[in-house]
Amino acid sequence: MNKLTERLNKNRFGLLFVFFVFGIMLATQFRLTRQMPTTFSSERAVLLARQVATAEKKHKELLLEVDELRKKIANLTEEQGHLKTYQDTLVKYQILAGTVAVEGRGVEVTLDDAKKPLTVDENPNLYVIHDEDVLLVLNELRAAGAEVLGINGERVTAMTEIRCIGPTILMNKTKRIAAPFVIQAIGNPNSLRSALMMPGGVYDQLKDFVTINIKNADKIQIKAATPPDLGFLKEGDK
Amino acid sequence: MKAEKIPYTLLVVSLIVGFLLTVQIRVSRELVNAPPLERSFELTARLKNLSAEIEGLMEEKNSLSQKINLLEKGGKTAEDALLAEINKNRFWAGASIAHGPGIKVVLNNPPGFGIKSSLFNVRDEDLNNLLNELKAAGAEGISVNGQRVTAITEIRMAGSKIVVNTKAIYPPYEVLAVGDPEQLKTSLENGIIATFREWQMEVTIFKEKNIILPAYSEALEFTYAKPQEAK
Repeated sequence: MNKLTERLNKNRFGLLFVFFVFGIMLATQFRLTRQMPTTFSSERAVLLARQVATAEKKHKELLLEVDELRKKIANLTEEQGHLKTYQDTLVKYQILAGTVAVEGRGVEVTLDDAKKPLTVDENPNLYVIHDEDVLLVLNELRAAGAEVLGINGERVTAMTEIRCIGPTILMNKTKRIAAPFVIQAIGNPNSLRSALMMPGGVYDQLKDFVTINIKNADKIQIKAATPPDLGFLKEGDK
Repeated sequence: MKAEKIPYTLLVVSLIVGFLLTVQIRVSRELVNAPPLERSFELTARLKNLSAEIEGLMEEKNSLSQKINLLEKGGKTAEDALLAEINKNRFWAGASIAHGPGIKVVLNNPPGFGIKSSLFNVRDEDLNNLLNELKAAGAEGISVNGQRVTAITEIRMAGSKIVVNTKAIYPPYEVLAVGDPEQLKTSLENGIIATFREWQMEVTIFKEKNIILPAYSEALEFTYAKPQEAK
């Protein structure tokens, strides 16, 4: 018994050192293993990215095909005298529904995060674009008689949501848009502009916090939206 | 140095340390290469939404092709096909009556403090935020106090009143949304509703089996917007 104690005493520093290293390694490893479930294998990520790319390609092709078919319908309607009276009605509902790409005069409102350098005591959160800022501009443009709205060419429909995530906007579920955000409004440029520039209006509310720029545009182009995904909504009242 | 002088304990400990070291190096190398899990969530969600849109586009393609066939036949057949196409777009635009399951949200100003509390009265931005939440949660059709929400529907203060589709509306505000009732309700309760309650506004959400949405009834006049010409 005494012999063992003696030997342990002799090796004390060696043992201390070894156990010290051992402890650190165990702790690190424990932490790493805990982190593991928050990442996933890179092969799966590559596979997923490839699937997304394929879907995007297919999506793009279908959009073109659908666009062609709609144009064909317009042409066929044009050719037949007795259908001509319906043409205007169809176009009106297509524009409101967002099923046809449109162009026209209007204004473009460019929004971006503030470019000014912030001092330490300023809250950076105040100087980036929020959902509310975009909603505010859209709403004001609607009230001023905008006929069609878009953001960076993507159509704003009745059910378009605006989600500002980091430096991007997510809209229409699949469209991710990068800053600067150009909110496009087709309509009377003067009415639209003066509504935004009203004293105490949208421009005044936003200009101290974010970069906002309003300019008239002669030819704004806004894409068609994809057909709405309707699983619950049905036509009629029963 | 003689072999028997090395203590067994040290040997065992060294072995374990060596083993740990190997495992650790392997694990950390894998960690560096693997993308964060959130990114895979994002990709999965994107794929799901894209697939839904692709499905919608395929349906639309079939529907349009069918109508082209009928239009080519001319006469009454062509007329019916065109009318069907008009009705479809009208329905999608929110310009016809529609129905389905969903939720009813009733929102009212804070009770009884008179003028003092008007700071926390329901404002246009509250309704716009609420609508944005509903849209993000997958609402398929929405109305506010009998006014259908379309792509050009404004919800805006005019003095102390709120105006929707150029019509003044008054509290309590009743927002109807057709969509998955559970999903719509949950997403509101996990977010914006708490803020409303904090401001003492009265909010109630009802799940409904069948909601009837009115049609947008303003005259449609597009003076500036024209369909893009074929390139």
